[in-house]
Amino acid sequence: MVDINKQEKANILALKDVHSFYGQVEALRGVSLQVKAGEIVSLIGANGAGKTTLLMTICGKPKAQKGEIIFLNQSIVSKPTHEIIRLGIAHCPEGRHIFPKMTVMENLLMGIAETSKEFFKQDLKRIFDLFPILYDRRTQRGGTLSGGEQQMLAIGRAIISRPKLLLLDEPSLGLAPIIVQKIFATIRQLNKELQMTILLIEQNAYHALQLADRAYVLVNGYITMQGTGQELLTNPEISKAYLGG
Amino acid sequence: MGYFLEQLINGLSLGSIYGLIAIGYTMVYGIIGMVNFAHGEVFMIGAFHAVIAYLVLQALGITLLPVALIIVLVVTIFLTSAYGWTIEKIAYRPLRGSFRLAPLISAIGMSVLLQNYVQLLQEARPKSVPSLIQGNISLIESEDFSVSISYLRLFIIIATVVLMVFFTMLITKTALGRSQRACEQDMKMATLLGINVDRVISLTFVIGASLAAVAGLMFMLFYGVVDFYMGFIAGVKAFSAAVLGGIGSLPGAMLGGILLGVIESLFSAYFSVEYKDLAAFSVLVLVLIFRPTGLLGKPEVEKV
Ligand SMILES: Nc1ncnc2c1ncn2[C@@H]1O[C@H](COP(=O)(O)OP(=O)(O)OP(=O)(O)O)[C@@H](O)[C@H]1O
Ligand SMILES: [Mg+2]
Repeated sequence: MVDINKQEKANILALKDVHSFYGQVEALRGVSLQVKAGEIVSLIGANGAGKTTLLMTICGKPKAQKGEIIFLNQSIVSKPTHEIIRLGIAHCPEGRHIFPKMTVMENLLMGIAETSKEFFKQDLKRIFDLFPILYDRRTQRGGTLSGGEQQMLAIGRAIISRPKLLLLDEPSLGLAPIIVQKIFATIRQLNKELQMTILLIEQNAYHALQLADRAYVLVNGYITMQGTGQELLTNPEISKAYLGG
Repeated sequence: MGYFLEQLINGLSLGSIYGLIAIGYTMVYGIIGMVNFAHGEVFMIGAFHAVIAYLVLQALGITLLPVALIIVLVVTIFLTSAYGWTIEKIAYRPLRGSFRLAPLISAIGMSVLLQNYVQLLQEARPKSVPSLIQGNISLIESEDFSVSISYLRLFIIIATVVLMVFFTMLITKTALGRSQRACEQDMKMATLLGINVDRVISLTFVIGASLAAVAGLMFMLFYGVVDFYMGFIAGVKAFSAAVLGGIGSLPGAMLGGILLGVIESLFSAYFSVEYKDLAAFSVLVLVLIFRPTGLLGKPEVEKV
């Protein structure tokens, strides 16, 4: 047996040489990365680099055609999406994907639909403490919420199941600066206070790198660079390509 | 006035049967966007199971009506939903993700296959059963007019109301119903929340088939004859009911069914029996001209 304390920085997720396709088009061309317990890992890259594809491939949609994906010490490449999710991965996808005709409450309930219902009351309270606006809106239909409210709901729905790994795909997209601040503060809070492990995609590279313990740069389906958030922030190539300076 | 009310009640009971079948069309359309042309045959198979179950019970000497009805109901639902489940599994699931027409063609094939299958097993001759629920209850009796309703129609209407209450609770209040609606609104997201979409689709077929089975049982009680071809016209009407109410809308399916049933009854009563279908379909065409999405259907809105 290995000493538990020495495993503190164990891999939650590891990708090894993952390739993934849409039809004939190869969107990921051999990606390897790791996310360790308690980390925020950011993934930055231009439009069409394959960031969304990477998060979706982790969830088995599309399936990795080649390579290995290990989540909590087991291979998940050949599992169907719903089984991967039930192992403890929450995916808060690009574009939020709120169920438009369901109430806020029902949307949140969907987050635990297939997992444990034991702690539901506490979990719900946790979400409403985090986003009090959702409590006020709880009987309103998802489709009628503002963009910021929808993003909070999407995050709430993802974390209500206490996932072991949270995947966030551009949570700040299309939101007003003040809401963006709130979303980033929440991500930090989830990580610091609830020890949630997070893999984050962001267009806003500056924010993403500031927040990250470590980060990867994805270009055309390859990882071209990696390092701590600080290292990449001060890297001249990065600041030229992604930080507008 | 009395005659009118009686015809209205007649139409309500007929419409209940259409509505129960229509829900199966609308649910399947809502979740996988296809018209299950074999659904009329599922209804027909439900009616046959009801007849067979009843004859078996009679042979066994179980004739106490409420007991016999409940056993027939349970057996019919169980066997018919097994058909619904199997049809989806073998005829539609393998085609998921292929071009849009593929499952429709498969559905037409399934419909013909099931008709021939029943014809082979049960012969083409219509099967008849004696009317099981007899007698009338007098609702209004005054000097000018009297209205009486047969126990059979009362049974059909009450059973439909009970079923609808139960069904509405299932869809709006349970986790299963939520998963069903989630898949309907955003299947990709439902999967990303750990929903087994295949299972939800299977269950949708099972629920649709169960309601069609009840409709089959009611049809058997109502008309006393079943034949292998009955699913066709009933299917066309129920599908029209679903379109009339707004395809994809569950309350719409029931409303469409009842409207169609009532129009058909009243038209037969006051004008001509021969042209009752013409009247029903004319209303459908008229409604679609002025409200292409059906009575309760909403225009496709883009999703956020
Ligand atoms: N469903 C799809 N079918 C075919 N090609 C796709 C599909 N989704 C993405 N692609 C292609 O795969 C590549 C990677 O797309 P992806 O959405 O992963 O990029 P991204 O890094 O998330 O971009 P963005 O920053 O714009 O969200 C792109 O070239 C895109 O056109
Ligand atoms: Mg993307």
